[in-house]
Amino acid sequence: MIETWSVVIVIAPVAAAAICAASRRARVAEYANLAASIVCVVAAVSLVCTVKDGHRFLRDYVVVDALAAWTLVCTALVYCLASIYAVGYMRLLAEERERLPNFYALFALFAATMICGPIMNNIGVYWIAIELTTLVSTFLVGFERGQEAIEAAWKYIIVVSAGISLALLGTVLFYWAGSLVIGPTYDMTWDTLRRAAPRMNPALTQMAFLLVLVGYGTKAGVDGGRNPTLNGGVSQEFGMFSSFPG
Amino acid sequence: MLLAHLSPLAASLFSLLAIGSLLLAFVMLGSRWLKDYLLAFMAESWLIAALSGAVGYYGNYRELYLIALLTAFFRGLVLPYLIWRIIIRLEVERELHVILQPSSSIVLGALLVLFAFVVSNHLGNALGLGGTVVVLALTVMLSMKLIGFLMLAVRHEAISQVLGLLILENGIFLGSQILVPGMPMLIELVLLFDLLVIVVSFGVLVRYLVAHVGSTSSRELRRLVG
Repeated sequence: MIETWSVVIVIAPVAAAAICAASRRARVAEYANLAASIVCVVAAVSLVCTVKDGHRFLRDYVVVDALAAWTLVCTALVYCLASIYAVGYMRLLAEERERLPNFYALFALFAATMICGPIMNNIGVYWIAIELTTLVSTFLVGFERGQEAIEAAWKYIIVVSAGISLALLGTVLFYWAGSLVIGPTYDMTWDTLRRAAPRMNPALTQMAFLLVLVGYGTKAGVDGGRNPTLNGGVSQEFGMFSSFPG
Repeated sequence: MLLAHLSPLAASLFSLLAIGSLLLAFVMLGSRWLKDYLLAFMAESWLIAALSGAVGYYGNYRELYLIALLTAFFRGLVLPYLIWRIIIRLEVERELHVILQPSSSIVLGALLVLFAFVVSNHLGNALGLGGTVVVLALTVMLSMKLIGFLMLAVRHEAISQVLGLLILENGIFLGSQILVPGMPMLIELVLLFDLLVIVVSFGVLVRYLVAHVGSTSSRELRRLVG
């Protein structure tokens, strides 16, 4: 049951994106995206109700535990609310009407990448999921194609890509710290690292942790205080995305 | 662990390739011409591919041969080709307004390398691996990271910033080849393709910059400044 809901919650927005891209009609795209977001909320709530201990599948690449399920509920709720808001908001942009299916396709893909992140069990794949959210959301930020929108998109992708590369460095150092304990080749799952953690070298682990904290922190907007203008610009361009957790 | 039992020849070869890559990062710091950046990046990628092959040979990691080939092909040919196409389309040949002269950038870069060495040496000693190729690999990895950030900070042209980001990635990739050669191949492959997607996205954004802002210099991106 958990596997089915997990597949549904990822497939629904991807299917919506495919429908948006294939139909090329604004109304169809609106409703496909809205329907997908409602399916996501239902699936996320079902996951919270059914999940007990961590459930792993797809060769341990996916893990659904209570924390992941609650994160999915938050993400799916924001996705659903943003989808409802988007219908009215995007209709106001009369000149963008023919590009609306693109917007909803990107929007649904963004939701899919956001949903993939919390259920990834391998830290390397987790980093890739977070990186994909950046790429898709950049085009959402720059969707209006005005000078300010493109400026916000450019600054956003540069700042976030630089930040997330720090997280990658931290991830590699974590893998290295683990390899000194476990052996050169292992699957970098949360469980493996948790078991190896007490025997890892403290200096190396601290450095890796700080890099990961700063790296993912840049992505999540922890450093928003240092860069209010850019955050302001991005949220000004796309009010509803600033509420997305990431 | 591979690094603890390296033959002197292998250690020297790894060191040579790593230092060569670091020097090429300095070539990028010391030039204003975009094509120089690109050539240096290309050569750096080839050196890293050679390093993957060497680690694969001496450490007996067969899959690293494939990674070396893919690195040479994607990082050494496809990415530079994509960026070269953007440069041709932009008709921008050099950095016009520099915040920091190339000579000052090199001096600053040298200081950053020194800082990276101090951190790496401390880590190497904490791990009981002081004086081995580990310290050098960590130094090069952190230095390229810092030099990449320096390039992002002091260069205005969009292409310079993209190449700055690619140096960050190259630094991590280089370090991971020496420090964690046993990293699962799937992760390395996905990282490689991820990089390709990033560069294509940057290409699209640069086109938007030209069309809607009229310039690819971040000096012109001043509307969202507080």
